[in-house]
Amino acid sequence: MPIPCRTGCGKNAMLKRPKTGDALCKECFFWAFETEIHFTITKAELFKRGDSVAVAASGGKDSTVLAHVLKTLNERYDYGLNLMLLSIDEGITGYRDDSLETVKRNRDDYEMSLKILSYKDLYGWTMDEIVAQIGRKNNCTFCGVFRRQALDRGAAMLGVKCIATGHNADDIAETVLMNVLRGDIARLKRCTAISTGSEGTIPRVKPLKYTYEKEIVMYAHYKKLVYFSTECVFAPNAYRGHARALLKDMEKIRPTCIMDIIYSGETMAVKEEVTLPTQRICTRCKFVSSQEVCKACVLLEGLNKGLPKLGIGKSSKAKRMLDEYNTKQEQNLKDAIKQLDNDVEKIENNCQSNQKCRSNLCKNKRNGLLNKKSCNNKCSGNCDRTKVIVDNTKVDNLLAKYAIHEPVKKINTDGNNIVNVDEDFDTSDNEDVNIDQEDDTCSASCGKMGSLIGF
Amino acid sequence: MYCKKCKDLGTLTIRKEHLYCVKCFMISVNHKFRACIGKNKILSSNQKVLVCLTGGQSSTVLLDLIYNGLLQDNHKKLRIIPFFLHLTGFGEKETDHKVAELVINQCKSYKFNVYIVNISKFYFQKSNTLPDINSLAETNTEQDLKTNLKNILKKVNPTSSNDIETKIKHDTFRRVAKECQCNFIFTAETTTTLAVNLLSNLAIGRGSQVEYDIGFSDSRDEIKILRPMKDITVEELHHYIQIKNLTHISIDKIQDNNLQSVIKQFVWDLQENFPATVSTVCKTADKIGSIDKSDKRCQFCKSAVVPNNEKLTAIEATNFSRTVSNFHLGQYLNEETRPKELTNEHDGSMFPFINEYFCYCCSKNYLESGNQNNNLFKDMLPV
Amino acid sequence: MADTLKLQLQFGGGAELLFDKIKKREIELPALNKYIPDSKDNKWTIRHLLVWIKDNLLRERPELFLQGDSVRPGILVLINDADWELFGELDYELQNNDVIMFISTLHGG
Repeated sequence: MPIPCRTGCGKNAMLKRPKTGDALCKECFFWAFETEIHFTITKAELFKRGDSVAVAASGGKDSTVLAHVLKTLNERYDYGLNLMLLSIDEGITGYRDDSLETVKRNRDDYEMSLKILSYKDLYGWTMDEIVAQIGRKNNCTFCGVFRRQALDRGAAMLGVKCIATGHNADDIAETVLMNVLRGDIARLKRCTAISTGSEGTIPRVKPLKYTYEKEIVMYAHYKKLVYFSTECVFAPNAYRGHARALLKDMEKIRPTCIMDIIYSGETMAVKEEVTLPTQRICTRCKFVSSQEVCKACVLLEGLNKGLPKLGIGKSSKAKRMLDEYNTKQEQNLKDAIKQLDNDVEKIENNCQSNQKCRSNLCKNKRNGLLNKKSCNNKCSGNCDRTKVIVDNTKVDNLLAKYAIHEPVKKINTDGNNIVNVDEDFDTSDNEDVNIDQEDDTCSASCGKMGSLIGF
Repeated sequence: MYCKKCKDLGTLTIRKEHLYCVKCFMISVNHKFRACIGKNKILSSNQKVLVCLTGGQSSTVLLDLIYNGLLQDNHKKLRIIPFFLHLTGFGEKETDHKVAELVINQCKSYKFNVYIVNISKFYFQKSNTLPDINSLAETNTEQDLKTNLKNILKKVNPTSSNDIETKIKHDTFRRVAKECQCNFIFTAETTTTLAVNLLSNLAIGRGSQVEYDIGFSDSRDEIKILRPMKDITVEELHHYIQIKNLTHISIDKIQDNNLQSVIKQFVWDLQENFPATVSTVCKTADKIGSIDKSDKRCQFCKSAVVPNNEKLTAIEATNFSRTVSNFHLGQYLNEETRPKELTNEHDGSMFPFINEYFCYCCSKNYLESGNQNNNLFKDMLPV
Repeated sequence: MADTLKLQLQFGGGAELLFDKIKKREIELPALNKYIPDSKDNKWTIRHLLVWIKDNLLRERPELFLQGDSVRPGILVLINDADWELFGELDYELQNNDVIMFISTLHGG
């Protein structure tokens, strides 16, 4: 027995809306779905006329529907927005390369410009390479932390006013549950906000905050939108999976519970006496961080030093690892100096006999070895100094480009002495802030462009 | 393998890793109970306390812990003047009787007296006469049937029904406490139960009430409900009951038609596989408050209603959803026929009387209990 | 044979990954009392169809598709392109030439 559409339009209903239980036909559903998002955008004042907005696009259902609806509404209600797509390429073969094809299709279908930023360009590492280093256990930490920052950087490059992400109501409810289970009170407070972003950062908005996943999927299906729906090849689906399974079981019994959880999140507050980590600027990369040095920089540091586990776990552990590393480096340095001294003696002998520095020998021995003590001093002016200077690797250039200083020692190119430019990488902040605050293990929604952002 | 505390043989495993001997284990549970009361500094000496019993595991252990506490001397003595209460009227008459008799026997073995109170009498019939101690009052008048809690809740969906029942129970506790001149109430929720309650609270929109529903003290009323078992886990209860060979009834039944049950199953599984998580969940609860402490109270659950300061919340979003599902595109686009803001059940609002008379969840309960709501909500609303 | 029932099954949103990546299948169900002899019902419903799918199509990890006697929450079911929640869900009686679609919402994003 067909059920008539609730609006009284005369057609038969095609779906039951989870939020209200109302049954609608296809056409009335399209209108209701889009109008609700319009209501969210205008009531919460997400955009201003003339804004440039980057839509975080992963090729998945949420971002595809978001891009489609934003384009539709921008035209229908004349928002005057300049919409563009922003994608992050983590470098995951067999997953992201495929989904990027979907994003490119979105670009053509919706006639929006598309910017793709890769981890390789930003950090010098692809996820495939990182997984080769770290294994599959903690790779989602890297992916999540890097992605969060990558979007910020991409948005900065595009010069947009804000980033719109595809978080839907289910995602937000799930995150509320997850933050309770993890005891992450700081995120619990933030995760239901429709618009996030502290000073100095590009705000992120969630136009689909009150839109159920079920309706997004039905909308995409009825509108025949093309989206990509494969799990990330690395996604272990750990903790978020539990919260997600619970939420889906609950939704089955009482679909309104997703909105109820969001309302719970909206009306909860952290008690005054509870101290939260304050947000500040990472001293290295200048992006927002709850630590002196942000998690992305710590992770990158670890990768580049061959200590991939550096950023996993607590900051005290990181410090210990770094201390061990430095001790070891120092020992290596001492050994090398000894070696060098021997060599230098030979060179000096050479210099004296030939009146000509064999700089090649100098250079070879010096490569990668950075120390106040240098053959330059002893070469008594006969060396061509500029040739002796170690030319740093590509990694260094990258680090410099993003203002991430290589914390070891740098060579002062125009003086006689080689000096320490950077003091040791500072992990010594005494605040008892857990570095895990920045941690974001991936989720069932790995590959969900927005899922790791802003929470 | 040795006990974690002393060098005796450990026979009890806690959280799959810590071994305890029986003696140290019992000391630790008693300590947790006493420390919980002590550190919260809400209960001063020699106060009258109404202890609410159910006959279940945690209630059985609470009774034993109180008895032990009262027996101690000097500084270790638990200084309260306890009154005991057991509510009936939730299930089938026979089961109800069996449980009540068990509770009477439990109390007798400690030489305590207990009031067996029918919830419908106190709550719906507004009786304020305490029954004789240790006796079961018969209930079968026509009036009793009409106001039977079970009958009233029969047509309400199971999730709302559970919630309403809890609220009515708490209200009844307070009514009885008033009659006994108690300013404090003890209930027996363990860490595990509270973790379930926290997630349930979130799932039905009572997030802003977590402080009162999950914390040590519910201070929404002058008469405060305290939860002295809040640091004890279900695992510890099992051990305690076995060691002391205490009789109790099992009331936990998992169903798949209500949120509370599904959450309970989830937390139990969690307890099994991630034992630290349950206490994490409860510690989180201690840090959660509400965005606003307004004086306006929900008529049903007495919680502060949260006034709407945000530009957009789940309430407007849901109501808007209802609006666009109820009207033609044409009606909506036309300024004159555009529906106004929905405020009550007659215009299709999903949240009748919200913020005026009810909090979010109670407003939903009111709507969902449909025609049955007369008995539940009649005195709270304007005529 | 008059007793058989022809259906089209469709899988989408990632659900097809559990079914050899095949998105569309034409199937023919035998008479219910032949397939499930001790069944009290005499007409095929979605509930029975899920049993058939489990027996015939779903070789690996059935828990990713089924939970209890229903589909795993988060998998949408469409009967002739309409939400099954409007048609009694598991109790819907299948008709000849019905198109039953399963869309996962659990994959990717």
